[in-house]
Amino acid sequence: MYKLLNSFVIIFSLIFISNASADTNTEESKSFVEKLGKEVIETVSDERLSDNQRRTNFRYLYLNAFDNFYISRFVLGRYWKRLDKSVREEFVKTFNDYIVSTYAPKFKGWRGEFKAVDALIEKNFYNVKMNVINKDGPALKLIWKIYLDKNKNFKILDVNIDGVSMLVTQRAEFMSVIKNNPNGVIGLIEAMKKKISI
Amino acid sequence: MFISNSKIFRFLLLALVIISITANPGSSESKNNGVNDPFEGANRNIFKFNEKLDDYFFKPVAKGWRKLPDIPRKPLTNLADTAKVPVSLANAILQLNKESIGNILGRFLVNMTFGLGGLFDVASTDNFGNMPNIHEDFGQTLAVWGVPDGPYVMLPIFGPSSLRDSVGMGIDAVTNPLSFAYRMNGIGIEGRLSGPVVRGVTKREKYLDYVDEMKAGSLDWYATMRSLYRQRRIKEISGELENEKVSFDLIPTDVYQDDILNKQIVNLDTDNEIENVVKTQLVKTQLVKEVKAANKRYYNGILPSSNYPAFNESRVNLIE
Repeated sequence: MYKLLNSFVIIFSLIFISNASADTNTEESKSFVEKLGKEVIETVSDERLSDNQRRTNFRYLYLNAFDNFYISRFVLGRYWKRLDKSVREEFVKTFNDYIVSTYAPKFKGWRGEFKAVDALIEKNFYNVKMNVINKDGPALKLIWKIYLDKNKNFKILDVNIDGVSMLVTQRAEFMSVIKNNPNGVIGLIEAMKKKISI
Repeated sequence: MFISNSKIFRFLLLALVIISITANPGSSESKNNGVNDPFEGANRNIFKFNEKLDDYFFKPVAKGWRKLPDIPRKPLTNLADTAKVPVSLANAILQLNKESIGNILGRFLVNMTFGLGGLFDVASTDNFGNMPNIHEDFGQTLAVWGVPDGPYVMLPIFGPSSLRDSVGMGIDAVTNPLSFAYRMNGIGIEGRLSGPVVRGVTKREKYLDYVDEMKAGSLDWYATMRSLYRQRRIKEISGELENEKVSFDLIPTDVYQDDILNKQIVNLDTDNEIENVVKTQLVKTQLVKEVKAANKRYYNGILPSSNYPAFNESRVNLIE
């Protein structure tokens, strides 16, 4: 009887501890996303920045906060398997440049209000819900998909904007480009480079 | 009029049967990489036409609409929205979706009374608990009944759709209770068009900046739109008001559960090579740094989830 009681106590305390740590992590995941938003306003949105500096700052935030390697692999879908190391490296590098040159200018002068309203754990992921109110334009409902890496840093995998996953959209686009380009993935890399240089 | 109506109805019914037979989601998706766009050539041409139409007509109109003062703009939008209620309600009933029925009815009653006959959207304010604005169409009803969406179709003017949703759109237009009311009162086509036109312009105005931004960064705008349409449609049909799981359900995990792929990724890491270099060349001050860097990036087999590939920071260094 005493043993049974003891094991109950242990189980309960374990549940309590795991719940407590889960709660702090979900809270932290919310503050992580909000902090990222603040950093974007401070270091990317400022209109006084030169375009080059804005890109550099955005690149820093993107590489630190997003799992860029995972994202690169995901958007290439089944084509990733068929590539050799050098092409993969070339792709990851170009894709990161492409993300930076596509998204950094969009934040020029952006002043939105945002608040992380909720965070849920699903499997090992945190789904942080965020409402963004733009100065002009519609209010958006974002869901950030985040996980904790082994260094206890949060890394973003995907952003869902009003029900649309950026990751899935990007992959759909790249699949189509690769399919319609005679050079396949190489053609896609060239197309990205062309877009970056504009 | 009735004869032509029944003809249309019979045609739509026939089309429906054809989709049910031809659209086999399992086989078509594996063939087309999940795109299911057999008419891509024709669709792209129609898309080009729609884009031109957008540049020269819808975009300027939406910009003008945005410049209008709030007073005629918002009540007109709300009226056009309220006019859609009968169709939405009918479809919610056909789907036996209690939540939607409740929401649509509640919203309608609040806006018809407190909102002065649908002029003001008071249901969306905090006072009435931010009632969500739900639209149900016959395409969704068909989806609930188990009809697959069929091939992707780009409709002239109306834009992206699927075979099922095009049929749904036709049935909605024919069976709209409002069109019976219009007919009884002798209101012509110009009067009937005001609702859809205002709704279209409002929608275009809402996404004015986003569409332009996305288009500017896109390598294949047609494919991007196709994906956006599909994802939005899945969200609408799944019926949940704020479906936070959409993106996670959409991510196919099988691509990443491949053992060969995982092995390749592990092999890609240069960590082991660096470690060997350190061991053979003994300790030099410069190498200590490398060891630190290598340890920092060491892959320890922890996965973010069983459904996802191992996170590996070694790639991050590659880019800098």
